[in-house]
Amino acid sequence: MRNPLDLPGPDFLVFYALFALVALGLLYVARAAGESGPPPRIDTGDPYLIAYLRGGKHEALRVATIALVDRGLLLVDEKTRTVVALAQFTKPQHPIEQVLMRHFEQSHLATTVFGNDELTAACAEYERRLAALGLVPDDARRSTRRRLLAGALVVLIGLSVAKIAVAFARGRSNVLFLFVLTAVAAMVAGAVTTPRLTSRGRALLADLRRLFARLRVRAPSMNRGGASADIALLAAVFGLAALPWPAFAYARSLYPKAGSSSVSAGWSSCGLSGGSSSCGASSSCGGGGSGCGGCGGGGGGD
Amino acid sequence: MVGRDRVGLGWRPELAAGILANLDRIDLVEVIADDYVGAGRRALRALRTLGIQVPLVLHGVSLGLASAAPVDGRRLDALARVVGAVEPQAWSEHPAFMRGGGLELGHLAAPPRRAATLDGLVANVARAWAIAGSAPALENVATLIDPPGSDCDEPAWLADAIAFTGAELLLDLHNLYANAVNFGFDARAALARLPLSRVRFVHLAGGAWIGAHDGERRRLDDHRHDVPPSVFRLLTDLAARAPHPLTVILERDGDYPTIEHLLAELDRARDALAVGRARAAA
Repeated sequence: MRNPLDLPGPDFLVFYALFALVALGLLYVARAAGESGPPPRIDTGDPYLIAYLRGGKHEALRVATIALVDRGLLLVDEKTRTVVALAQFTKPQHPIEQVLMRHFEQSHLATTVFGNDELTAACAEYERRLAALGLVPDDARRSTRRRLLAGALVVLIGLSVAKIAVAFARGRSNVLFLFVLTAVAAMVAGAVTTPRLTSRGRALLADLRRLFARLRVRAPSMNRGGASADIALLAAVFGLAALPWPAFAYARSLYPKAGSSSVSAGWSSCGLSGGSSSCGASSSCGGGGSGCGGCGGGGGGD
Repeated sequence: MVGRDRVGLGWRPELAAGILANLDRIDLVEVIADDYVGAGRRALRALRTLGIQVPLVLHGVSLGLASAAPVDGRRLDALARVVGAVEPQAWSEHPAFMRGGGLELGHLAAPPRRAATLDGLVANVARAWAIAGSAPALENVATLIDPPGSDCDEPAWLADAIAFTGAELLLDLHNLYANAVNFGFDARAALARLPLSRVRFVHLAGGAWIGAHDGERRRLDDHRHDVPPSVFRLLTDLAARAPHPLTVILERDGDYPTIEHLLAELDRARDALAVGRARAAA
């Protein structure tokens, strides 16, 4: 078998690209396999935990702000994009809400929540909880990721350096394409080993989107201030973009850059993630005659 | 009595947010298994994830076990796949007649209460048990017409069905109530004749009064209304007599009220259970 380092430049580039693809594939599998596992039990009653899982600190704070506005505890001025607390908060459902209410005791731009140290600390608690559940990487997982990345870079860059050394030894200097290819492979390796969520976290988020798919379908019928649990969970699972328009137009006004923080949080996002179970169903009445609800058809019921 | 009574809610996608936001007040959910028949790996994984968040049982609505004909093998295999993938705490089906001669009735019809249907039910439950790995609890069905060709009443037939199949009875109290008012028997007396030692799961639901051809009114089990007081009283009676912890599931299939309203109905069920248990202890 021919030594790959003896391949002519173009042939070596093809070889290197294929080699890098395989190496990156193995890197992905190694990283994902170490992070997968059965989904954990999470506090589904805390929409901000889910929002944090989906989009990190900024998403948790966006969703929390909108949820408090929807519950009538914060007042929005859409022209100035400011928010102010309306009432004393006597019964917070989650610690982050209390900190938010304190933050908005004075009128502030909505986006100032991102720079509030107390809120950052409250969100750090979410990071800690998710890391303990294996949904985001903890220190040990990050260390493993770094080792995997280092190994991949040694292989990818090492092979490239060896070929460049051979090329220079043979009086050639046209290594630009190999250099670029190596840089691209290294960047992809970095991306493969540093996703914000673990495989377990991604799987859980996908499952939540599937379980809540019908919630998104009926989002257009939701009213402002009508169903806080629904609104908060809708925004937590699918992002502020999933909130019905125009009832929640103020959310876009407050956080116009929501789309830049994560794909799923984007105002432009659309489509269901995963879809829902068939309509027919979800009725315990059985049979094709009953349709989507109720058991009345024909007299049989369960 | 080892264990405690539990009260849960039928999982409907429309109620998903309300249910998951209030798991501190919902002990378990019941998922319609047929929603996931033929579902892909990801859908089943999501359902399994739901089962990790909250105890989960499956409820089938299409096997039509009470038939002289063997239950459709493909249908049974598909349901068994769901049961196997989700590993619910229990699963249930109906001793109902749903199809025959290539025709689908489209609903859960009460079968003729006679020996032939009982034989078919026993064979079908045994088959379902073998394929799914566990026996389904059998739920009594509501009916607007007294099944023709019957040679015994409902409590006697159900008692035989439970005895001969070895299955447990999922007792739908609104169905029992509806049949009682539709055919003029005493629901509480009928309850007393059922094999209550084999009851661990209970359904609660609401219904509506409709007019019948004979000018009488009938109780329709439509799952779109609140649970009537009579059904809560039956639950108290059941709790006073049943030796095992009961798992009570509220079914709602349309005209959805707020989740707070449904949670209040769950609280009423807890209260009814508590009264019954206290009566038993006295």
